[in-house]
Amino acid sequence: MAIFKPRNSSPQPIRFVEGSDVPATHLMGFEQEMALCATKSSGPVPDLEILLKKLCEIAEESLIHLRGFGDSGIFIANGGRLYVDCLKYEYAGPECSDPDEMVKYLLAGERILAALASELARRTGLDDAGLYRCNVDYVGSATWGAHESYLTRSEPSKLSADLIPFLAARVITAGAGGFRPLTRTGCTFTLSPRAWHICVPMSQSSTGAGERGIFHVKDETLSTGYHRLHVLVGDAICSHAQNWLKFATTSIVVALADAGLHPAREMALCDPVDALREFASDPTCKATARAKSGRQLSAADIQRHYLKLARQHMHADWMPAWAAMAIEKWDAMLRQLDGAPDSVATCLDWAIKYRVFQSHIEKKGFDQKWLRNCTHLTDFLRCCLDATPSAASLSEFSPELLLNPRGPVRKIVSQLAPFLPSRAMEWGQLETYLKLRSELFALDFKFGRLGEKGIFNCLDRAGVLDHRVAGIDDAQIDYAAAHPPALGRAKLRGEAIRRLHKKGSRDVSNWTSVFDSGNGMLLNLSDPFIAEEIWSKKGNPNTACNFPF
Amino acid sequence: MNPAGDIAMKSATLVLEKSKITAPQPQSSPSNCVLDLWEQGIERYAHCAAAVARLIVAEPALVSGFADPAAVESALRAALSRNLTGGKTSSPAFWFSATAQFMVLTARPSDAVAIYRQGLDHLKTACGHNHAETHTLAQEMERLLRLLGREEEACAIGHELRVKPLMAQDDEGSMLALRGNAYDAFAAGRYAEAEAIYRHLLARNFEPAGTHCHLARVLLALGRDADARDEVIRAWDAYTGDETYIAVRILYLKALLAALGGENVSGPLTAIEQNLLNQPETRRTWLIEPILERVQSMLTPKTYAQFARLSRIISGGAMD
Repeated sequence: MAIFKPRNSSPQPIRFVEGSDVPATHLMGFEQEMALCATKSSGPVPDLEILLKKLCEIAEESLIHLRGFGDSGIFIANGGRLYVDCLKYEYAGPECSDPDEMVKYLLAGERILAALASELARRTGLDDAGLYRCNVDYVGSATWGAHESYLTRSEPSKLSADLIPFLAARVITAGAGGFRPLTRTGCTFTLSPRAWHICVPMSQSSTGAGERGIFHVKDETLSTGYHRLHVLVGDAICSHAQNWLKFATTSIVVALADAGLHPAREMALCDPVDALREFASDPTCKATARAKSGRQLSAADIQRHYLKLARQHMHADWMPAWAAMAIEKWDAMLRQLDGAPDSVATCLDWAIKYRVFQSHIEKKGFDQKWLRNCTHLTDFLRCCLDATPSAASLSEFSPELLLNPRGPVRKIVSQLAPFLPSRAMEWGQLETYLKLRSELFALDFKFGRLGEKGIFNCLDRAGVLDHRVAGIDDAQIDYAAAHPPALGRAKLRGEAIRRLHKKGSRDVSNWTSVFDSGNGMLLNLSDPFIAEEIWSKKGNPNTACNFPF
Repeated sequence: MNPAGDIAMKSATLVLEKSKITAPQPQSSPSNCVLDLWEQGIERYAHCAAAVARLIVAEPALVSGFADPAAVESALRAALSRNLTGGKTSSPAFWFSATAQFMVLTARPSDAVAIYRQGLDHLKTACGHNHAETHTLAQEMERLLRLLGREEEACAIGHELRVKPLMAQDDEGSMLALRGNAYDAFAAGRYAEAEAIYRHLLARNFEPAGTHCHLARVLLALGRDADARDEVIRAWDAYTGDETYIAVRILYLKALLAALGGENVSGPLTAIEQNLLNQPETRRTWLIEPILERVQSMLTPKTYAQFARLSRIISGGAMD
């Protein structure tokens, strides 16, 4: 069932609430980190650092761009930015004014990056090179972020209480799916692997292990007169419709909070992190968490509460023009989730993955129950190994170690043997379980690969998915790869980049300005809604000390 | 227990019910409580999982010996007891935590609270209030109490462990930390707790202008407008001109109290705005919404809008 109907996609003009500086045009953006992975049959694969450097060189050679200030990558003609951060390749899209644009520029960036990766493989003699929206690393503890930004008038910290319940609950509509990370031996499906890296309700940090919060209080405004809410609890997802809904619903909820409506007044959760994990653990989306009001709320209950309030204020002058349509789509999705996971198995990433994993498990002759039993058994044995005096030297968890007659847990293994048949398990299957676990993790990793080799994209080509947003076609995505959005400062930035781009140029850009070094002129973009290029003289462009930033 | 507390406990028990371990059912091959524990999600309770594993590594026969939850509990309690009387290697906080977590896992949250209390009493005597293990156990207990809806008890734990030790100190670092605690209490709506801390700081003459101003804000939130007015006057008297951002906030509260008294405050509000325009460094985060929300119905819509707008500007928002 297609939930996204065709519509007119021409951009709405920038609007402000009459007689005030309150914008009714909602600006938003995204950043997506990706893992670079390469293979080579003859000879060693170069270091990741070298490959990323090469990828940057290719981007500079093949794309219209200006250098970012300092070591901040490049700004490209669509107004977005490409850069390397902590050995991850990252694309930050331009500021967009509606969810259609957000999806278009996300897809445009992904198209650019897939082409860059292919070119990297060709130039460096690799068999293959790809960029992956993988979210988490199941071996270590690394994560790849998919962050969003929403322009607000309120300081982010003041919106925390209003947004935390929504951000915890949106996992059922915005999760990428995968397996619980950080378990070392387990293999348990989750709606959002990154949810397990979220440890506190609020945080300053976006990277520290054990410090990531559902709500990020960072307030790097990158503008004058507004604030920027930075959302870090989210996954990189492939489904166009799911991305659309994530951006649209979050933008609406942020608007409700920014308007001072306190949308979460009755929704405050006793333990938001625990609630997020409960919601993320249940593919039927029926899990509940305790609210401070004493009620048990499911993620859908919480979202319906916000939806109801959004509907009440749908025609408020501070609501975006696309709000009514978004509210209908939101409502339809929540209804569809009543039958989860099957009812959303062709449109939401987590449910598509759930089916893919299920199919693989069954193909191997097992079922979810067996997988769960193996997870519990191996988790228990892992705990026992940790408790042995030799724990520090036991980095490898293998059947050889566990079943070794002189191994550290041999007595426990023999004590457990009589209890395995009732769980349809036997020690001989341990290796099979660990192999299946690796295969499932590999499937998850390959699911979000950019380009035609990605599993999601293969399924899409096979016509088995129902995730596209009507009105967004290939031509529009290609256009968005090379041109900025039609409104706001991203438009001016993109146009200036296109004009100033030339080989060896010392012209630079960042989010709030563009510097024309030849003429010593600065384009100030600190007003995110600016509609006209106004350049001003800025010192001697040939001396670094007069650099404008 | 009062009826509200009783309801809270019942619903919390319901929450925890799903993780309750069921008694072993007759099967063709024997069941095993150890594996049941992992099936029921013991890994969410890290100390409990590690404790059970430690017991089994020390005595593998317990795999069979742990036929039901009562056997596991008994072993955990015995280990706790041993560690309370143990030598240098003992870690009572770990075993208190593990035993309490087991109670939660087996849907007995009130027993868990009792174990935590016992643990805190022990640790406060054995290690002191400020010991890291005491704090860790207290935090676990606080979290459980909040999950059970026992907010007041949770606050009391936090007060005793975080606030009271700081109140015994007179150095600047402790005062600053106390002020942070007072702000957290205010932001969480625990106004009485915030008031007590600000009064403590004033008794030690800690940054009187700012602290009187903070206290005025708390009193406004409590609806004690006359007391708030006194604090605003004291704040203004104590203001030395060093920190201009404080002056803006004092003047804002003064104007708000005047407006609540029915005075026309357009002039003062314009003056404050001008001040903000001339001194951008005075614009920084300020939490005043709870007060504005309380007084909204007492002000005309126009006056309320003026105050709301000004509060946004004070907090760094856009100026027209």
